[in-house]
Amino acid sequence: MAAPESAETDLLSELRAVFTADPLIDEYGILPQDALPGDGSHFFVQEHKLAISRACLQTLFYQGVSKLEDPQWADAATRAVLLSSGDHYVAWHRRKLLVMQRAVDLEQELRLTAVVFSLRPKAGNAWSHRRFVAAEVAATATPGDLSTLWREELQVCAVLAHRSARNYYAWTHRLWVARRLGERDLAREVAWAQRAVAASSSDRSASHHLEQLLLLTSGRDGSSAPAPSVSNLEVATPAAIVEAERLVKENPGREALWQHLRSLFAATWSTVGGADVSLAPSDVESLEFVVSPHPEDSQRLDNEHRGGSPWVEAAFQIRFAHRCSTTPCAWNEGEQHRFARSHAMFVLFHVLRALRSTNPRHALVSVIQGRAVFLLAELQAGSSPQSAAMSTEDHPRPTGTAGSALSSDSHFNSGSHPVFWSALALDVAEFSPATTTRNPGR
Amino acid sequence: CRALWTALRNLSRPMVENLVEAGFAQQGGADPWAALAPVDSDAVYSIAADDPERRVKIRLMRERHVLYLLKGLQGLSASYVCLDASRPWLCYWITHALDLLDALHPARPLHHPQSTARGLRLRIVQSLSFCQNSTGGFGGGNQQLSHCAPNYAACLALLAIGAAGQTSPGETLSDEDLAVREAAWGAIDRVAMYSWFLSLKDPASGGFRMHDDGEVDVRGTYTVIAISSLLNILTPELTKGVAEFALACQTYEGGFGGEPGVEAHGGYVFCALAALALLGRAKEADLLSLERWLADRQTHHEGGFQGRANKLVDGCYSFWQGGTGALLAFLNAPESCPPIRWTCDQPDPSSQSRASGHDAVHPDFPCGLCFDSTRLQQYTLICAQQFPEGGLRDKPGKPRDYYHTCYNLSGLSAAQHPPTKHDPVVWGDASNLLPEVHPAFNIRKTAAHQALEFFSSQPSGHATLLHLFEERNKLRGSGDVA
Repeated sequence: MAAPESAETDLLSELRAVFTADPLIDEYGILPQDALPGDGSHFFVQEHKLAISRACLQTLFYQGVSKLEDPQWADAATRAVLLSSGDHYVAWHRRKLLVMQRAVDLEQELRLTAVVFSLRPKAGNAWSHRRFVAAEVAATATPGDLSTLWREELQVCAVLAHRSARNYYAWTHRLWVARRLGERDLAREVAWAQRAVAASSSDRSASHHLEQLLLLTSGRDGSSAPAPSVSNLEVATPAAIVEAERLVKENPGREALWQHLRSLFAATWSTVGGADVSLAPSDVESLEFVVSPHPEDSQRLDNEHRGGSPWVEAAFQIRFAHRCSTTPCAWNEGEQHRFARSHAMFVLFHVLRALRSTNPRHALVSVIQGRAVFLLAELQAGSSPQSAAMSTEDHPRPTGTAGSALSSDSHFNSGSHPVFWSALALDVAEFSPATTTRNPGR
Repeated sequence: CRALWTALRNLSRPMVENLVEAGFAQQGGADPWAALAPVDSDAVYSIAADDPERRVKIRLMRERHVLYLLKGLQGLSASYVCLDASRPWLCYWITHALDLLDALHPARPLHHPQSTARGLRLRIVQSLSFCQNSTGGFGGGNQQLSHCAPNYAACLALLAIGAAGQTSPGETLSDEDLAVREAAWGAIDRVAMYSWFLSLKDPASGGFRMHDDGEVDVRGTYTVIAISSLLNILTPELTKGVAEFALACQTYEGGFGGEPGVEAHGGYVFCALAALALLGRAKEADLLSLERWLADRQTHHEGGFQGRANKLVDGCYSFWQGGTGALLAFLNAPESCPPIRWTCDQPDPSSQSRASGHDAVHPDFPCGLCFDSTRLQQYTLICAQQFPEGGLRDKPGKPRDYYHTCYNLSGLSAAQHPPTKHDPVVWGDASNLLPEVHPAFNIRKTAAHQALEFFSSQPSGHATLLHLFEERNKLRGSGDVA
């Protein structure tokens, strides 16, 4: 049945024999020929780890490429190609056809992707293949097998995300699996994600994953998620925001955590649609307290219930950001204050946008606008050390060509870029920074 | 000549011959290396930051980058096996970078009378045509399955090669250049490509698969829409549901991910926004949030862009994020920008007049971009250039490669040509100016307009294209693969 061994396929048949002898190989590496045991063979297996000699790699690759279309050698040839070039989409496509014909074992297939990941953890085509095979397995699995499968997938994702931080493909795969978990497994996944976010303060991928899971459990994801129970809804926002705030305070100056807080706020805010912005009198009071220059007013906010109206949440966020921007930190203080002010700007922007679109003449509008301008000036003043002295005089106009580094620094920081100028529709003559420094808050 | 050889004695002979052959070294002419200021890159950065008076004008090392790029066309080392299924990408990165450095078709004064620069272009065309399949589309190499990504790269490389040499619409091409254009643009089999694109469409999500039975994501969607726009094979059958898919990829942060729900990432942001802009549906996305996310991606300390929040700066995102910023500027204020053509349906841009006088942007932000273009140029010229070998890189400490060379230069071009300004903004030496890049396609703007002009007169429309494809298959007989 096997084709006669010739010089063109000797390495392929060796490789095939290696994988047949030990189907549990889960990792591989490429070593110099001297490091392998001396009987001249190009492959060595011990404890399910495969070593390939560097000397034979080129020949192996060429033999693989030449035999990709040959049905008798397809399995070995694709393995040969993939071990040298893990992202080779033609080889993965060939294996996909083998899987669809069930010419290979699906468990082995998943194991092969894990082997390729040991040297190429970010090979997009390998991840796509893994997703395809997992879907095939899931289609015909019993519920018990299914949970084993998903647990295995989650384990692989966790290991690879740890090995190469913020591995986009690993996290995407994890989200894909999470969308297919049962309710109990999903709750466990949420707990895992919360621990992952707390463990690594600069991992935006982990915090994004947590946000997606929270959306999933609150049923707003729109995809096929299990119907949320009442207890799940509580998990979705206020507790998560409180947790995010705690992380932000404990890990100063981490952009990923501030981004996480912003996303959670945006998720709560998204319930504030364009047409039905219902602003209750208590909401107005909360917002007024917060934007008022008198700090004791904002303490009245503590009596409000969090998780009720999004406007109250906005008020809490502004107060939190204000506190963070004035609290000294042991490290990363400059970054923390910058991000905090930027966060306050973000929330104010959303509040203003919603107010303007429905009720432009509301008394709050000018109050919030004034507060926003003051914040902008603070952001500009605090951005670079040289510009602190320049905050009370006119900003130098940057020259277009050969612009000096100084002037471009003083204008560049994430809080004062043109988006917010245009969004706030400020009349520059009325609210120029020169006047603002004389009139804080009003 | 002696001075030239003295300066070049450290280079290998084939590299020198290359240089002469491509017309960049004049026999007996001035020493091309004399203008380079041999300074240490760290000292350069501190001089630029502290003392405006004594600043050395940082220069883009054009000649050395060109040498590096030409070397790549000759042959690549064994470590490039990981790109075996991506040969058209290498052709595109090198060709586009050469085009931006004005080296694909050297300017007349430097042109060596016996130059084989044209020969080089024809060789690239021939290599790429081996990657094309008769069932439509380009694959990663000879006899490889057609795949959206190398298809995109191959088409762009061919379009750039065919358009090289004509920098203004009225210029007439020489006969040899016309021959190259015919070979390059004629090599693309539009008709077969259209039916292949149709086969990749996923009716459930509206997006496109990367290859037969491949994954659906916004990359595939962008590559199909971009090439279809350029080749005039964009039809309602192709675009149905595409905009909805791209819009669904926007996250709460404002950026776009690879699929709906996935983390926002620089590369996918560009793909999604460019696809939406080409379909004319960009206003349906939340552009304000996108602008904010994008502005936050410019790193505070280095000035270059990062791909996602809290990650490190990377030179290639100068284009993926910076180019998106340029696109946004076009979308926000189209009437104050120079006319630009996105698809074959639009009128010829040279007939449109430009809004004059009134500067539509805030005086403190003269470029109208949501990021600081000066800082981006500084990052590219100071940190991304590999000194002294040439080539550009991810960040200092990483090795140079062709992908980063291509996208660093594209980002530099995008930063130098803010859409709302009449004149380019160049930091450093005045010779750093690069030609303007089309923000949606990433080839030279003039090349994109020429290609759109040419292909707008070719047969188009769903029924016509399918009919032509059928006719051709009947002539060839069924089952023909080669």
